[in-house]
Amino acid sequence: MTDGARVAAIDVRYAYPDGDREALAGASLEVAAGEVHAILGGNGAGKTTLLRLIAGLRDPDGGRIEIGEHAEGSGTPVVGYAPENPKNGFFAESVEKEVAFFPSNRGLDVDARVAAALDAIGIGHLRDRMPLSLSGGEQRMVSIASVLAGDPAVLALDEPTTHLHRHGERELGAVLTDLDRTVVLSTHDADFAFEYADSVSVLREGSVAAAGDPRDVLADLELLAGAGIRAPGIVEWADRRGLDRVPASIDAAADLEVD
Amino acid sequence: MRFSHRDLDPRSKLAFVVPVFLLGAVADAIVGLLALGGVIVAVVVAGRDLSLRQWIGALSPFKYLIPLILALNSVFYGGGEVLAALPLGAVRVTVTVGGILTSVLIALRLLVLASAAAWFGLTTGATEFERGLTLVGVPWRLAFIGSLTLRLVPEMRTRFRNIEDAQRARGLEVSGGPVARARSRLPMLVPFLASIVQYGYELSDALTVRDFDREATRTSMIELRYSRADYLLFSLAAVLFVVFLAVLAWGP
Amino acid sequence: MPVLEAESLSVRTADGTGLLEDVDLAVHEDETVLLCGGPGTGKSLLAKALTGVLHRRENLTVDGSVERDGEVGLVFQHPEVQLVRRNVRRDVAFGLENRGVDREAMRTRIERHAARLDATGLLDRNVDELSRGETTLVAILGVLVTDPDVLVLDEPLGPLDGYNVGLVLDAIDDLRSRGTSVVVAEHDLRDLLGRGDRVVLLDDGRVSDRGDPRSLAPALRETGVKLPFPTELALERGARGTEVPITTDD
Repeated sequence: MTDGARVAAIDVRYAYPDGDREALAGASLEVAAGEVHAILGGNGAGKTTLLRLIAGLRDPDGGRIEIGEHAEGSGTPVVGYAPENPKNGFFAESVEKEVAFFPSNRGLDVDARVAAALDAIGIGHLRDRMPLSLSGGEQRMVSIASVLAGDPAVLALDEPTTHLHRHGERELGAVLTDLDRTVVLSTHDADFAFEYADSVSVLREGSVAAAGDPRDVLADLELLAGAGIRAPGIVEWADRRGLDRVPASIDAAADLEVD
Repeated sequence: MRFSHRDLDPRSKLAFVVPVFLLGAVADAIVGLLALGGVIVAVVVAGRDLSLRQWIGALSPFKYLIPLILALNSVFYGGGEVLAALPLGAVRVTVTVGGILTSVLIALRLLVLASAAAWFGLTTGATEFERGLTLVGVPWRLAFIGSLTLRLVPEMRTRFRNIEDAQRARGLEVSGGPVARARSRLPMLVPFLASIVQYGYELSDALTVRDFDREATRTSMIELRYSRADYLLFSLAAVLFVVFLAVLAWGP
Repeated sequence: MPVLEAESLSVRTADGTGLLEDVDLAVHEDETVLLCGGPGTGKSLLAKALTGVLHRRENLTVDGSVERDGEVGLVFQHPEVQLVRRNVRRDVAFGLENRGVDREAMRTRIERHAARLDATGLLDRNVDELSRGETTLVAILGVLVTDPDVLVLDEPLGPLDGYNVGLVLDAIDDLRSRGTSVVVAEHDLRDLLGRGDRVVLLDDGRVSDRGDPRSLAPALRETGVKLPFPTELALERGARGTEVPITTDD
């Protein structure tokens, strides 16, 4: 069983071969081992690119990625990547076989890894179902489970909250915070990051504009507006009511005397 | 004043490409093919918005194929003076002058046809092509599906790449020996085919909603008008066609 | 007289599984209707059924009726698929070409509608270069130029960031100001709740509730629809009925 590993991007640059501009122009971030980190950015800010670099699917044109204590490439801990569209990975006729793919490729104990992953994600009841027949939220969970099963030290999730309703989001948030791995996820959903992330970075036009505690970073309305991201509802509300501190949650807000 | 390749009417471009293909198919002399190639180069150079570099760049997939064709066919075809011989068991593999000349002919033929097609493809927009085809009598639905297919290629390529990422990230080997590659087919093919089928449904719905099925007469946003350059191209095409007929009648 | 009316609408798959059961829905002139429900409840399917697109699918059986007293346009969940030409102006013209509109009229209509949506700058761009929000905008434009009486949008907001959501909301507001009826299937109602005249809630393929946004807020919260923060807060505190705000400004 692996614990989470530290993730760092140091001044990475990347331009796609058929692209006309740099997707990443010197982006740096630091994620402590075991943290849930949200990379926030608008459409086209470079989130997917950064995740791909962290996952080792592309090599940066400049700068470097460090996973764990070593620089990328020297017996590195594994990074599992789940794509934005969960269907991109689905090829098996059952969830069980789908989730078995990664551990099998890595030569791990498949049965044990599959059981552990399904359990951690809470989708044991979907074991024999066909992935392509599941709902969007269930597919998302299967995709994450299939990555977790390979026992990576880091999970890189690309926009995992897309198309999820509130219940699905809560389930996802709970699962991710309970995992003992490092989770790096990309999203434009600041509410999700505010509630579930330990740390965040805001990506804007290929570089990180701000990073740190969600409570601080996501309370900066100007920063978020400049990055094309909608601020968390609770932050907007606190701003309108003229509060000088944003409540930690809706329950805390409900307790306040303010309307 | 040089003309613009992209402004040429696709019909005149088609008219040019057809006799080039016909001639390229029947020409049996290296000199003839070189002359034909020269005509194509002249057309490319005479226009102003296609650089030689872009044009040759489009043919870069052939840079591996051409040497291969030359090498193989020099051995497969024979005739004339023997330049080298290699006994392989009961068979004697020879490289002859005739063989070399024939392989050069084959390679040249391929290059001529490919370069004409590349010129057409690089300078003709899908929508203009669609309109041009409709005006020469191709049913609009067919022409449209053709131009739509062209749009789909980059989309499918992106989807393939995304699927590849998802599978590589979970340990799929996409390089390696033949056994490894065969095993990698299924996890690549299944999601890709599913994606294509899904796209097909969505596209079909989208076309229905945008009145693709309407039986009424269609109009077109695109106007195609002949210019002087088009008439010149038509004349050139006519000349080539006559040469083609001459070759048929009297031999290459 | 409704511009769009579905009666006893049912959709089943080839093997008999019911996806939509007995849905009655009427959309009137100058009205904005929100179709909501949890995942897999059929709101997307209903959006498509309203436009008649499902009748061509061999693997689905559609029963009941959908009466259209006008033109109905649809913007898909993945609007990129809906864009069939490379150049934006030419793609927008596609629907008009199919209807046999003459060239001059096409040009005028396109320029006029693009100006209203502040999208004139997009007309000369390539469809492949557009951002997600711009893609949705162009898809809306392509439908708008055909002057529909009702515009149906299938989950338009999901993948869009704050800026792009703004573009789409502006387009919806413009439509509403012109009296076009709008039907939106969505689970993110943070900006739409206050723009809806009526809400129709689906559960397991059936209409489980309908009414005005304020009174339906508690039920919406139950199903997992995203609501404006002030709405959630009020409901958390036990407010009901007219006390419940439905926008962030209330």
